Amino acid sequence: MSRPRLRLWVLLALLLLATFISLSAGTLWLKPATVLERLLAHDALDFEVWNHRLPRSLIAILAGAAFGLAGAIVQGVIRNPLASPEILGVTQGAGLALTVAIISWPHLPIAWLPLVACLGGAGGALLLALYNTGVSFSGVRFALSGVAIAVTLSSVTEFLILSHPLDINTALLALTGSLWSRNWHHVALVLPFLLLIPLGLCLAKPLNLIALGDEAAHSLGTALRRTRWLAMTCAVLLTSLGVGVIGPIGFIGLVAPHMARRLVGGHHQWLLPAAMLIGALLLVLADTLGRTLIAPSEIPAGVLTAVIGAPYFLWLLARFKG
Amino acid sequence: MRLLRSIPTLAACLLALSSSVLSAAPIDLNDGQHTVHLPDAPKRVVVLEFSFLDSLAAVDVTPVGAADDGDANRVLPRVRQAIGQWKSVGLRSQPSIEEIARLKPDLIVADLNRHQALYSDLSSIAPTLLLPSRGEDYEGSLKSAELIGKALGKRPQMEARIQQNRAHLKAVAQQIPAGASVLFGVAREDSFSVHGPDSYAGSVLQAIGLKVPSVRANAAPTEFVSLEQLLALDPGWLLVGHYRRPSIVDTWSKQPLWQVLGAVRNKHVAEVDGDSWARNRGVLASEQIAEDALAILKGGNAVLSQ
Amino acid sequence: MQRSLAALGIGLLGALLFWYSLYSWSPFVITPADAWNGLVHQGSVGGNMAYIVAQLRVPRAVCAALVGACLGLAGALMQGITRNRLASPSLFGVTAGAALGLALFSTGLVALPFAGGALLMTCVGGALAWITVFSLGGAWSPATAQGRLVLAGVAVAALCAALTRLTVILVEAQAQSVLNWLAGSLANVGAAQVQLLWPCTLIGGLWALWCAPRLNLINLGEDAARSLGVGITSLRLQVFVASLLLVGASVCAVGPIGFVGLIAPNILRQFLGNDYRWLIPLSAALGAVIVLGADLLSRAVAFPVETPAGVVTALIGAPFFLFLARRAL
Repeated sequence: MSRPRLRLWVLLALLLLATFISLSAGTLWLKPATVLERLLAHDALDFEVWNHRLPRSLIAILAGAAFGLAGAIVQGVIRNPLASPEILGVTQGAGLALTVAIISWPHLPIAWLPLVACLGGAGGALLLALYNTGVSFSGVRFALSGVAIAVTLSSVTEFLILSHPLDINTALLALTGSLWSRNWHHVALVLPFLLLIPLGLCLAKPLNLIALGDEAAHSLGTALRRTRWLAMTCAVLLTSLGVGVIGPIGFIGLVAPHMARRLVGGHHQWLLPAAMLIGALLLVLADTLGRTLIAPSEIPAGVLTAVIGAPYFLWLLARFKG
Repeated sequence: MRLLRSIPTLAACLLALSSSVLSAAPIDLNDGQHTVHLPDAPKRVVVLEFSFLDSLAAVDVTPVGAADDGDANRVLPRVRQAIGQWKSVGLRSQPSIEEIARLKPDLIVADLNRHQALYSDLSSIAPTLLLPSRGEDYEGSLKSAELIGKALGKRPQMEARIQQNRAHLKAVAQQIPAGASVLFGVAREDSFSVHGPDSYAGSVLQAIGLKVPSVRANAAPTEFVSLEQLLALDPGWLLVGHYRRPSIVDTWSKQPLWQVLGAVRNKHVAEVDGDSWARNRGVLASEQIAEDALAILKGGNAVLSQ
Repeated sequence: MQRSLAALGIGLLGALLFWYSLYSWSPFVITPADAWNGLVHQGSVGGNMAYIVAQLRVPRAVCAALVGACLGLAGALMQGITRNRLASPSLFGVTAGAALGLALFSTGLVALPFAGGALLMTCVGGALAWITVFSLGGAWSPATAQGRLVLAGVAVAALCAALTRLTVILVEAQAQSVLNWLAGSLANVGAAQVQLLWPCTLIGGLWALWCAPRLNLINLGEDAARSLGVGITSLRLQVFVASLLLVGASVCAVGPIGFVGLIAPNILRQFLGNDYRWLIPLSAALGAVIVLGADLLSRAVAFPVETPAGVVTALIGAPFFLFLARRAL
């Protein structure tokens, strides 16, 4: 078995192990045998495993995979390892849309939130595209303009939240990157991932060609612009949907592709699945730690991904040679 | 002879039968959002807000679990005395669902404002009542108490207790000097939040005949104010609950500008227990507020928690 | 000539804003006469309104001016030493690091019982953030793309914000407090904050002025500067300490306020060129004007409810940053 393929299997095994640990962890630690038993028995009276921890873990896996995949795609298109959906204003755009929706329609059913988030994320990405029209494409410049837009959007969001304090509870719940209170209803909302993720994986070949450089890709006949558009749309949708369900969670889309690259190399057939698996692993880990460190209170998963992810990103930056 | 001996037995049987029929009566109610069906009077209750604990205390029911922010001292002392011990299920804003499930309750009472997102999870564990608590005023809290009394199968008891409460407040109102203006606020280390006429404490104060100034038109029940705005409000009495010590009011009271307040010059500033006045809300809490207000207006001190 | 005009213009604008903030947007009716009495006679003449002006509004306006000056100075210094137009305390994560230090101190997680403990914590927090960003962002390597430092700064700022949230969650179970920590506000400042700020502003400002000629030389190129006898490492260290003092004092007094250090020097550069002997003092003045204006707006926007001034500067500054980022690259 080739090295990358072997490593992918190892990652999958690690993910399964982490999920199992996540199912055992909580305010009460369940023995692994108990967890297995309850999983198989599917007792309707069993609250902990089936009703509470399992949907949460499933959402963490799917959302983490989506963020990781989106990050890998964005880095592949922009060809700059510093890029990621949250740095490009997609996450903040989704957050702003969610805030506006929650403040204007306080009784909006949660099923609408992912849709609102997608619109917001697309809006943020569109702003970024408009901002960069007419300038020659440069990786760092693109990332920087994304930062500018992200900062603008998040300051508007903060302003709205601070001037509508009554709505703070509902808004904070949707805007705190966290898996608290997510259940099977939210799992239904993330089902579109099952479509988007395979779509993203299909982009592996085109992304490989793009990685060879624009001229090479052109001469090999790839419709470069079309591929870029498709890839970015996919990444935006993946990120926005995730934000719509669990709120803005940062650093996964930034860090997972890099870890994946170190493990399996730069070929996107291996890189994309590896980024997915690592992203899922990171989010499951963050959620498990968040639930157990100060039980019965919780630390939001978004805080932990920042605490784990930011130092890694800084280390990355230190090694990046412009 | 045999017949005579069998009468008490017969009576006992009838009594047992009738009481079991009474307690086996299913209870149906509507909390404004959903209809809730309880097959029997609940024996294991979990509540997720202090005001619901208060309602349980009003009819002497002990819950198996409550969300108390991990600190039982935040609960009103008289409520703690009436109820006894319960198991903490965590923060009011983020209670631990696993803990709640583990307690195997047969009734859950949750806050409409905070716990709506949890409703489907909670109702899968036990029949759940979603009642307003945060942002509620005095009359609203009595309505919620009534519903809780009905859910516990203790409706007549709760109604009697509420009547007692209204009478108590009326009695306090008669002893209070008419038309006094009282402002209550909660002080943290860097902010002061005024509880206006639409807040819980404000509505109780109005129920005992006091005037509560409003920060502005269309104000929220509680609003942050600066020292300048407080000076503009210039209430007759200023009651402060300190969430943290030293609080911003402690800092303000060291400034010479503090003496400009009429309440300060007339020595009408007093300290009250922030938890009892702002966080608890409920039948017993309203009596605590009324008694504190009466004591202070008569020149004494309010009850301060340890 | 143009420079003197600019200085005059900024001074006049600042004085106008200062004056206007003494009597506007108040729940009371304060007349300019009251404001005059409050300012000049410290409220001993003129009754209650003048007293209020003297005790509350004058300190608030002075604080706003001092905070703006601190941030403007720090921004100019950072831009000078890194030769990067986008350098500023908030964008490089220094403000967020200082806010984290303040949160650790105020929640009691790090207990320093002596006076000045808060200032020390904000300076330490800012220092750690600065060191992280500058070393990992490759601030001193010659071939650095302008944007890399900013990206590092954004990451550090996000990390510090997350750690601040973590601190507040661990210590208090209240969601509202988290937002208050992260948005700087002038709502409850008084004489104590002014006492804290003016020595730091004075020391920092004078030090910055002293560094100005050397910063001019550095902007010609590091080798040129070295050959002219400028001690580069010593200059970096001095700028480091001076900026930390300025940022630490302002965060300690009013919390994190962003974008002032970015906007002020860049606007001035349009009209005055790159001479730091003028850029530094005028950045202080323009920074003061910006924060005075933001404080006025923060009271006016949703009167009588106050919006934190930090949010207002972010709303003004972010679009400006958008504009600047497009041109600077």
